[in-house]
Amino acid sequence: MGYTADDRGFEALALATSLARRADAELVITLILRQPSPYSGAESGLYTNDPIVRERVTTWEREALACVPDGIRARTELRAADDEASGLLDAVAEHDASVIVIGARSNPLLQAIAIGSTANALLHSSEVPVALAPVGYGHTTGVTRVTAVYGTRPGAAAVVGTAVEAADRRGVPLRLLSLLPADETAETVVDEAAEQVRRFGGEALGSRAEEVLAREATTVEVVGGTDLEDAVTRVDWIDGEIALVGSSRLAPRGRVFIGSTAQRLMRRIPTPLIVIPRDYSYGPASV
Amino acid sequence: MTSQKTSTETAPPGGEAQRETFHAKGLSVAKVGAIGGAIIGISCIAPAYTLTSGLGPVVSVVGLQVPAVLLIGFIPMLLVLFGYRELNSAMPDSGTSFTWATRAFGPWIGWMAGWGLIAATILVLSNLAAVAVDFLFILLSQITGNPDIADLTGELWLNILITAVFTALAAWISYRGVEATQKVQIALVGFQLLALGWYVVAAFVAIGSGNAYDYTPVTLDWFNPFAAEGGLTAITAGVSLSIFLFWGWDVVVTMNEEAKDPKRTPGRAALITILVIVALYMLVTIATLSYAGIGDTGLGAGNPENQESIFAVLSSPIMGPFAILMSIAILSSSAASLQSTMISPSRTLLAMGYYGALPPSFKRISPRFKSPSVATIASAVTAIVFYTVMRLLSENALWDTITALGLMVCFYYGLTGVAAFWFFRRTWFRSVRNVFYRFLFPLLGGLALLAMFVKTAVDSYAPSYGSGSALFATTYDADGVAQDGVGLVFVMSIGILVLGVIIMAVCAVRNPAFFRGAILPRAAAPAGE
Repeated sequence: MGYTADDRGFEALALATSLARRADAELVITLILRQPSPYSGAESGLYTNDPIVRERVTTWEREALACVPDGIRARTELRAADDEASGLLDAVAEHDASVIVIGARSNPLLQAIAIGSTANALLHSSEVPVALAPVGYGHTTGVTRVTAVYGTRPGAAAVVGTAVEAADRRGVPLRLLSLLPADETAETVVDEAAEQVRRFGGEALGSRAEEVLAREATTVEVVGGTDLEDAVTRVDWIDGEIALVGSSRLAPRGRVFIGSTAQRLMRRIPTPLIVIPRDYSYGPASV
Repeated sequence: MTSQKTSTETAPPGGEAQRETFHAKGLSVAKVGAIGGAIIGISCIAPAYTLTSGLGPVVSVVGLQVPAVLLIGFIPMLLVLFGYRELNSAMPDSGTSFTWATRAFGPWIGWMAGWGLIAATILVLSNLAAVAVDFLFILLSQITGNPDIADLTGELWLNILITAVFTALAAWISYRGVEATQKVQIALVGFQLLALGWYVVAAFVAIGSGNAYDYTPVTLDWFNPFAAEGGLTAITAGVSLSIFLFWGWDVVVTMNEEAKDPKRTPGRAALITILVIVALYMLVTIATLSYAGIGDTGLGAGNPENQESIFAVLSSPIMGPFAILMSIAILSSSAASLQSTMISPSRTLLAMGYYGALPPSFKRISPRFKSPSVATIASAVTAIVFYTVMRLLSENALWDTITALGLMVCFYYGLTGVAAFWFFRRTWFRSVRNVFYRFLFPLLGGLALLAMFVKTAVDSYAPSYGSGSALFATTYDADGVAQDGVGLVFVMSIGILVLGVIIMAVCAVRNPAFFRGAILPRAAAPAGE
């Protein structure tokens, strides 16, 4: 996860902690220091070997670790990089991370989640799902429900598959949420879902999906409205819930590329949002 | 600069830190060769900016002997740089001169060295912003073909307002950590060299075709410092000004890990930088003096009206419509320099806050941008306030600022040189290299700069010094040169140092730990090295 020692960082940390519970995941709390370019003048920037920076960073690391509850494996890591996004992507590659967790920049003009430049860069290039903690997020005791959000188009296999897998592994309720459907009903959603999961994760996960979909805890909501924003406001969210959305059709294969629908959702949904890469494939390192 | 990755890990149960290690990981540091180093050096000096600001004041003190003064000006600086480099590798620290002088001579002298550095960089910030604003108006007038726009810079309130906006913008950019990339830096340097080269060629073409304003043939006397009319006073004043012209060169010498070959690259880069800069300064100076002479009227380089910004006056008559190149070169280089220089005082303020020499709020680092927050804001605000006061006090604010700046650089560089000499006292004779790099060079350079500081400070007491602006002046001659009172350059430079002593005393009362030597105790390099 990406960490800055401010409110956004602590919100991301809370979400990362919540995700790591019951997923047997290790948290890598990554602090990025800008790598000053020698061409910007040798006096520029603060260096990683400066004793002042060293002390400050150590304090930040200690603060972060103090927030991690017992029982969750966590470590901090200091990285030097040209910018936060590339540093985080390096960390993802090195640790074979399953998800990047970052905080959203607060912007008083936009509600709930507004994207900063780091988030924006990650949401258009990451090869692993990107989880965004909304401003003010503080739930650390584990995911309570997993919701796969579909836009107006049929939900992507990756979103449904990942959601089924994540809910099943954590043993929490699953919700399939279809917004602004043209001619969908709860039944058609369920019928398609198992097939989509089978395409995503093969026969084994497909049959798990049929089982999960048949559970009482699994809910299907088909919500309409005058527009997307209107539809979203009709949906209830519970504390500790996570929402999964897919990438734009414009996304290069295997990468996150947030679409305009997902961007609109981000501003309305009060719950953490996880953006799944296009054609994300099922593997052991899942959300 | 090292690039490294550190890890601290906790493992269940208990979540306690079980392991705490610092280990370097393969993170890329852009490697810089000799040519790249020279580009960095030239961009830090920003010759188009330094020449337009500094050439006039040097001409005003030494007349035609500018080439001579420039040739000797970089020597004391070079000598100090050897000591600077040694200190930088022995004690890398954001506080640079402040930290090193404190280690060598204790908290009081160390504090004043830090203050000198901050004062010098704040002075240059206000000057850079003002020059950028001047050339913004000149450029706008050249683009629109309306000469009235260039005169807008004389509107006091507009000038102060836009200068403040420029400074605030530069502070914001440096706080956010946006950096000039290699390509941008090469383009900026290339453009400056092109514009200055064009200026030199155009000046000689004008001279050759008999169109020079006041043709003055080059003689060997130009290279003889003792031919200067004012004698020793003029030479020291000129040399302390030329220190400003070469300032910024230190970054090349202190390159370590960024260098492709840390043993050879910095030396070569410094050599290329100084050759290019000296050649450029010589050519521009000779072209300017032969074209315009040192007469004190019209386009003459001795005209007090022309001292503040020589290219603002001369580039149009010499380069014709291509003067726009010079305007772009100066505007872009001073704006870029403004942003990169902003980091120097804020780093020293940060270090002083961290070690308890200033209130602790100065040590704040933004978690988001990882840059000093309070220190950066303080630097920008001080630069704006300083510029506003100077503008209101003196019509020739830029000229006097440059002169005071030369003094401040002599002061803190001098202290740094002597600090290097003293800090390495146990290692002086460990090797032949040490005899030069840790004993002779920093001592000679440091003493020379401190001597120049004292001499120039004493001379600047005279009301006619610099632009001729003075505090408490009651009578002026026909040229507006004050006849009594205290020279503004003296008031500015000594006043800044006295202000520093007062602030230091207040800090010492409020937070005595640093001043007892408890936080950053005196030290010396161990004899074994």
